[in-house]
Amino acid sequence: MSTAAAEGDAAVLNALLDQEHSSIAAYTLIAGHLRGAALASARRFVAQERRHADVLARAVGALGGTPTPPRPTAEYAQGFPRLRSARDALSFALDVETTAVAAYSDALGKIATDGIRVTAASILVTEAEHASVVLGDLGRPQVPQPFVTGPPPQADTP
Amino acid sequence: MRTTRRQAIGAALAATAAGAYGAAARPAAAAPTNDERRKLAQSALTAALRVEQTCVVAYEAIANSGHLSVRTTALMRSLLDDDRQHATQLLAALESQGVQPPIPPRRATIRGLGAVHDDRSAAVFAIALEERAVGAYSEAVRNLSDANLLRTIAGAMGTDGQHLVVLRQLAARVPVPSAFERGIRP
Repeated sequence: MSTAAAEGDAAVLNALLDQEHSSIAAYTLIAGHLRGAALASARRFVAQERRHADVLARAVGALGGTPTPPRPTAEYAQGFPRLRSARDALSFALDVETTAVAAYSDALGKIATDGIRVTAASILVTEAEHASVVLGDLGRPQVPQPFVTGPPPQADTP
Repeated sequence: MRTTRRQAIGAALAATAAGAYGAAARPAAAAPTNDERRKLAQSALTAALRVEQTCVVAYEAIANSGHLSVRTTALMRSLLDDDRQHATQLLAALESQGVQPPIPPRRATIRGLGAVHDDRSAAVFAIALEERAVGAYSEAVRNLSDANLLRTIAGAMGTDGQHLVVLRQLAARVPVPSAFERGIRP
């Protein structure tokens, strides 16, 4: 693998790593507004986001890069919405997950290392699963579309 | 044989992820040529299409069986609609590459379909199929480089993961049991 490709992969993974750090900060805020089964799910999901961050950081290191460290929580929180209820918290959790799915989907075509691409896809699926659980908690359809990334490109579209 | 840096990184990451499952990491193999990669990708897409075709045939049979509750029948029809769209996209991708697509299976040849007799057994049967679909897509992702096709595959994979959530909930299982949903290799 060329140095440029390794650096390219490390940059893509570092962007995803920052996304995971943001998700972890978000779920810490979200969990404070939830109870019962929804709180249990949020706790499970934040643990899984930490696993994602851990694997991404290791991959960046293996590529010869320096993993992006988490920023102070307050810095992430500046961009978060104000949560007044459990429903607000669940809606924010859905935003977090759909943003993550989009980020991993965009990243897949840019990752040159086969094994890392497979791991990124496995994380994308897990984020889509989180979104499905949250949609259920919100009383909405849990599988809203046949492609979580939106409609596939049409060959005859100019 | 010399191991390239790319292979070493891939093997290191596979070892990290495999460690999460307690499975043994496979040693790095020689890097495939571009032609081998193309064939591996086509083979994986064909395997994914075969699983999606099986889902379509099986879910239609289950939904029409009269064995399920109204709610689960509606769920099976919804999954069927999604998987039919996945199959359509895979079919188009294979045909555009000049690959002969597989023929959809007959109901009688689908293993386990005859044992579906209620909501729970339908969920357990469908979980196994959806896990195979995710596994097949994972293999395709490993060997694909076309960004548009990767996006389509990722979209189908993610939706099949969401199918797994509703099916696992129906079967009273943990809906997201792993931080890395890789499915099962078909």
